[in-house]
Amino acid sequence: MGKREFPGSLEILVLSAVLRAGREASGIPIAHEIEAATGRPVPLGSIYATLARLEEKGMVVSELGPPTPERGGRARAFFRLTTPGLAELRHAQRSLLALWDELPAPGRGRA
Amino acid sequence: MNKRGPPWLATFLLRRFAGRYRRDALIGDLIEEHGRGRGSAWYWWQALCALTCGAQAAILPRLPALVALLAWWTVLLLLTLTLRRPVILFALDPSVYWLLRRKRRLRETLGRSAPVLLLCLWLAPCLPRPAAAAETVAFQSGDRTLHGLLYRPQGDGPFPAVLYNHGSASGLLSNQAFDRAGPILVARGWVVFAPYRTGQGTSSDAGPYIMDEIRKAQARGGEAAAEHTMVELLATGQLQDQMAALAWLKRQPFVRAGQIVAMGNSFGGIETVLGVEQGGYCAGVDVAGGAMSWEGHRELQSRMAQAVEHATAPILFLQAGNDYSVEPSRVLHAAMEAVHKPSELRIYPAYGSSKDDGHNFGWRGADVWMKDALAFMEARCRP
Repeated sequence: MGKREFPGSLEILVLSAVLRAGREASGIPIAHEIEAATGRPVPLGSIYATLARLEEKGMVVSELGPPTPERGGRARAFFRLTTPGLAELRHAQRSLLALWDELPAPGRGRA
Repeated sequence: MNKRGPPWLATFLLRRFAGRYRRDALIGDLIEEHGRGRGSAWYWWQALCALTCGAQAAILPRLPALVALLAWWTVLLLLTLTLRRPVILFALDPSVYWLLRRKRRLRETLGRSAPVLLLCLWLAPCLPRPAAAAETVAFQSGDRTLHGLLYRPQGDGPFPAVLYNHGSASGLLSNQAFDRAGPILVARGWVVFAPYRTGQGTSSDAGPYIMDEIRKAQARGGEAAAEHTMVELLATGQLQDQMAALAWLKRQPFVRAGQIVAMGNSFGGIETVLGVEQGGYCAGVDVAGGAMSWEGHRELQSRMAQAVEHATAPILFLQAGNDYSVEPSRVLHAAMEAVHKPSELRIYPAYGSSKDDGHNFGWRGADVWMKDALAFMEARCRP
């Protein structure tokens, strides 16, 4: 069995943003979702580089919409999670929540 | 609204040097946001970030090889400076021997050319690569979402395109065929789209696998039922998938919609013939279509003959001489000639030692037959 490769933090953010953006999940809405959640802008180049890795790992798939004049005749790429992508995101969520439960409340040490 | 266009230099750099993955979509996003009022500084910042990410993605996979090469050269140069045994060094690496003989000249040359070398190292990842990597794309066929692999040449196009129909192999095995044919065609300036039809490869979750359906039919009603199911599925649902892939390909701005060739091996060859009957292609290349199923299968023979008689574009039939049967190519070529439709036939010498090797010539031998296929395609589609 191959070694399990854990997704990085930006990969988890992008997977979550793709899920939240739903059918409109393309570059700009994904960037907006991440900025709204973290308060920090993430360059689109980083988001697309992350999406390329995720698609290579089979966690997302993409398709092109129709090209439009306001985009200089370029098509928008829409992304959605695959079943393995969704499973990976749920696994990450469970792991983070389990770790969070073990943490002491802020300002208090463990007895 | 931003009435001025985005900085052309930044767009040019993105088009030329940004990572290949969804490059057009990224540029489109930036142009759209700029049009909505984002400033040029924002546009430049995004462009520089995208260029850095692209360079990083290109360098990282090559890092181990680069480090190993530098380490080897460091060891050899240290040996050159400490040992006075050039013969041993010559055995290890003749280039180091050459360097040893010209040490003074080497220092001078390196001193002068170091900036150029560094610049070349930085720009190397951005140089065009003929063997483009494939990206996975999705398309709709009725209510099903299917996926396929897309290979693209450098640049915005529009380019002529090949729609490659895969055979009956299970799982992702057809990727081997795509990876043989794709880079050869891309190097000659063709876009290649290899859609996975329902039940196979990356579309396996969209419906049943055709071979499972054929086996079930065989278990129920024997060979005749299996043949009927095969022909029916290839000429209905599977053909619908192919035509949906063609419609998707025609909508892409980097494709010349009037210059699309259908190509395919084995079951994909049958699909190619059926696709050319439907229309929308400028030519077809049927590689060993139906060779494994031809003998004694009248329904298949009759359906394929009917398809070529109504073909809307010229078809090239090609096979290796030791395939299971070369009759499909011979019979279908003759059928087209009989109705005065343009067609060509190539039967190549035996490939490998078995019938299976001969049949696999359809994808393993792509580097052998592609030259003829390209000549045929370019004469018909790029006059």
